[in-house]
Amino acid sequence: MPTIWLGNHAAVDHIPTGEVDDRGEHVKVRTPIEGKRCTIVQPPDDISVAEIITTLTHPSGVWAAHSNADAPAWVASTDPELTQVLASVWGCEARDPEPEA
Amino acid sequence: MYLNGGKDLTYTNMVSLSQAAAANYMALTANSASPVATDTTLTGEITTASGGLIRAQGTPAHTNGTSTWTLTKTFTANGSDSLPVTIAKMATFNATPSGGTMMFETLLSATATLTASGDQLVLTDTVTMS
Repeated sequence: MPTIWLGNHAAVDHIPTGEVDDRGEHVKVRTPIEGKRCTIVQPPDDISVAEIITTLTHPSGVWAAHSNADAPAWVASTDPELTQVLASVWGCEARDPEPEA
Repeated sequence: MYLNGGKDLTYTNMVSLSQAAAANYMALTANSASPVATDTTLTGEITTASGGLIRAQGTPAHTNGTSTWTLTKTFTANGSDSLPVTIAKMATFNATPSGGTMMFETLLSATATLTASGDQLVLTDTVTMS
C-alpha cells in the first residue's frame, strides 16, 4: 500500500465535550492545533488513484477532517506518480518522502 | 458508539500477546436503529454481491500529536446495487466480506441517498482516543 504524508500547518483535533448527542455519539469540538504537523494516510492497495484523490480531497474526506487549511503545505508519498498527481490537484509542493524530517 | 466487542479488540491489538486483524473495514446499512454497546452485527448490512456499497477497507489517517484518527471510504454505487437506498448507519469491522468483530457502530449525522449507478458517498469515521 502507498503511504502518503501531508504537511499540515492548520491541524485540528476532535475533542470530546463530555456530552452525548441524540444519536448516542459523544459530541466533539473541532479544535485547532498549533504548529507544523504531518498527516499520514495509508490507502489500501486495491483502490484506484481516482478513488484516492476523492477520498483525500472531498469535503467529507480525509484532509477536511484533519485540517482547517484548504490544502496541504506539501505532499510526499512512497509512490512518486501519486505524489505528483496529488501535488497537482492541491497545487502544493511535492516532496520526497522523509517522514522523520 | 464504541462497542463492547471493540473494547475487547482494542485490548487484543494494543496489549495482548496475540494480535488480531485491524478494524479498518467499513460497512453500510439503511437501518436507522440506535446502536447499543452489545451489538455484534450491523443489522441490514448491505451485502449485495459485486455491489459497490458492500463492506470494504477504508483509508486510515492520523495527524501526529493529535488524539484523533480517521477511517475514510469512497463508496460508489454500481449496477449490482439495489437502488435507491438511503444510508443511515455505518460500522467498522476487522474482517471482510463478513464476520469479524464490529468495533464502532455509528448513525450518520445526516442520511445519504444514492439513486443511480455512479453515485458516490464519501464517509469519514472520526475516532478520538481519550
